[in-house]
Amino acid sequence: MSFVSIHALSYSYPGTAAAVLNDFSLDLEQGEVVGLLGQSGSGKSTLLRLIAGLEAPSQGEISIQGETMSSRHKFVQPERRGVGMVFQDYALFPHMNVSRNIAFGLRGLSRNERKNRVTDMLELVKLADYGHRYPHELSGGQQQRVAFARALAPSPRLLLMDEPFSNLDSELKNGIRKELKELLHQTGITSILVTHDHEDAEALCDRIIRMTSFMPELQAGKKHQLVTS
Amino acid sequence: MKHLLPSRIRHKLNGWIVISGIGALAALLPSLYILTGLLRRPSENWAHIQEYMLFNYAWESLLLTGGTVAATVVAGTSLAWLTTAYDFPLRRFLSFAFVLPLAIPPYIAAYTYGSMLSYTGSVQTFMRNTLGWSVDQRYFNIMSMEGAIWIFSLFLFPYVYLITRTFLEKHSASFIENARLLGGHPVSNFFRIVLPLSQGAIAGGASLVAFEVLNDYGVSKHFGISTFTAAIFKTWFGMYDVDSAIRLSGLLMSFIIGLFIAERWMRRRRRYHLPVNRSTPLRRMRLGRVSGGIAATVGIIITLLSFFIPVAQLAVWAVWTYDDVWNDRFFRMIGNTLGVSAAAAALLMVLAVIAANASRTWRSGITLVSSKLLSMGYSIPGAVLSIGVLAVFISLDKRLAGVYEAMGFGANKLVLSMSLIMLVFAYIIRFLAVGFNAVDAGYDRIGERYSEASRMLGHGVTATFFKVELPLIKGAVLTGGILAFLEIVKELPLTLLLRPFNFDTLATKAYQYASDEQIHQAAIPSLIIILLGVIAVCIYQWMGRRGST
Repeated sequence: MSFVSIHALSYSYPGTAAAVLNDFSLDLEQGEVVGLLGQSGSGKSTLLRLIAGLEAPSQGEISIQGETMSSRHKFVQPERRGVGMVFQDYALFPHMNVSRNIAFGLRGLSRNERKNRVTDMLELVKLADYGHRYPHELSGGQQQRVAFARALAPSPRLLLMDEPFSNLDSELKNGIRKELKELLHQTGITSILVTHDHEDAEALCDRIIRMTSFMPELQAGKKHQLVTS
Repeated sequence: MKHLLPSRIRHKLNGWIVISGIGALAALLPSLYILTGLLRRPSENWAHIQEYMLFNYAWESLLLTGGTVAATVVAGTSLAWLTTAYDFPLRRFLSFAFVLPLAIPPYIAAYTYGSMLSYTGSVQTFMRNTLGWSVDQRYFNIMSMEGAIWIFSLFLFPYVYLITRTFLEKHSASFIENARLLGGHPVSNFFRIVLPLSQGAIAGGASLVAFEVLNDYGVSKHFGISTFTAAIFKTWFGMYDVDSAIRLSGLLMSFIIGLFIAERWMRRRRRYHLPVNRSTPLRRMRLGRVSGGIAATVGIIITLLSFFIPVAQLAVWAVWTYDDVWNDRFFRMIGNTLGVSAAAAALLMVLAVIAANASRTWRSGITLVSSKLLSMGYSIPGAVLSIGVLAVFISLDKRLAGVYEAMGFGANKLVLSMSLIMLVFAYIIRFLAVGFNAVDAGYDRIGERYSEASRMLGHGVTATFFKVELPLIKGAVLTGGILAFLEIVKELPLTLLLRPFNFDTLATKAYQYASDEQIHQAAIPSLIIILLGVIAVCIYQWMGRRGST
């Protein structure tokens, strides 16, 4: 059985008839990094939000490790899904410093365990000395790494990344892509990356899915798979 | 029950939404009671009221409201345009000072001007004794319909001014600069571009003015004008005919609902807003020496009349009556006012936060409707709301009679409807919109990302609220609380009708002094209310500036 299974998923915004996603299916193996590539409006971010539980699908099923998350009869709230997410604008809490941001998702741990986990995460993203800084005191690249550390700290089963590179300078991007690849490799976490930049997807993902609501576009190479939503 | 709802709604249902739904229903009860009053059998007085009084009430109310709206639209819009599009001496000061009249409740302005301009008032005494002029009393009698319109216009025009100015500053620059480049004459630009553009904003301000006039009791009572609100008081306390009072309230409320819908509809059809953040501020044109001087002079005269002169007069009276008024009982009354207002404002903010949170989690259907209903509470006149609230509480008391008896209060006692709980409940309904709008604006500023990030990190809706949202919106919550508090302090008709026996607030005391012809004694409580009002105005200005950056 696949690690993440999405079956016949449909979604349309409340009050509109046009579907953003229509009968969409996808399976992910454990440890796989899948890229969702597509233009804005192709429904890739919506798919991410449906997996996260931030939206409820109009039809279809999502399950993780065999456990149903969304279906006709069941809806698991986002905080109970064990899914981590890196937002496009990182959404670091402005009223908490870096350490407290990272510690935010750590629950059921003792004070010491939590402290150690935060230190580990800071080291993982190479920001060991930045725990006391506030988000606005960090550069864009540093903020992005904190966002990753925060999402990974509670050891989610699945990591979702929504255009994590869109706020970065193109010069920075290459270095950061490499770092992220290393990070994903190190943690071995199953991930979905949403992006509109095929270089991002090529560099990071094991498998790329092109999503389009218009003309089907075939891509060369067996890494690619085409999905019309 | 839960499984009967469509799945999409079910998935987002939580305690916050349920509470705000219940709150909205409770807030609606008094209004529903009044509207159903129209369907009940009229009392025997009704035929008399209908035949001899109804037309008169309606006509006077309409005249007063219409006259005031017309005058405030003309004054508010032209002053807004003058301060946004032109630069002239004292412009910065004046554009703030034009908002200050909002700090003076019209009922205070009414008896201040009424007394100042009377035969024994400061103006005529000065003319008679110092200048030796004898004047025709006709020109000085403002206790009339024209006088009331004049008072209302002078002290309510800032609503139109403020909303229109904010709109013009934020959204009009590119259109107006284009019109200037195309060579349009300033005057024709005003009529062909500015007016149609700001139609929605003007309608918004004008409807606030209309609601204020319809809510008023103090001015029309002091000037002897038979408005609908005055009529409700008269049938209730003069004829002891509550049923007819409810019927009058129902009629007034239907009219107001119509007005409310009309305003929304007008605004809906005219959405000229540019995409946000793309507009640059309008470059002001410098007026020449003569026209600049005229603009500054007119501005100063308006400011003097609408703020500084009445305040100065009140200050003089305050000095005269200081020994008489400033005593232990006065302190107790200040304590009453602050206590009940703070309690109501605090409860109101809790509800406002719950409602704003709910309407955000679930931006559709019922929550949207109930947030619209909440904002309607603000447009229901105090007298109308009072009757509804009183009726609901009396029937509640009747239902609880058994409980009271068991608790040893005795049978047939009115407990809730004789208590402050009823007054606080009414305040909450009437001013919930003030708090809700502030919190909603705060939520708008932070967006939904932080809350979503918190949910993704394993925290539920409530934990997310306390750990993430509240620290980020606490400024907005505080602002909303202060504004609601200040509105409650100056509210007159509601307090007058629903307060427990012998419970005085600053507003009722000021009103009582004034209606007992002890107008000088009313000065101190009035000045305190005005001072609090000035604080509110400053907060509004500050919020506006923060919102625009």
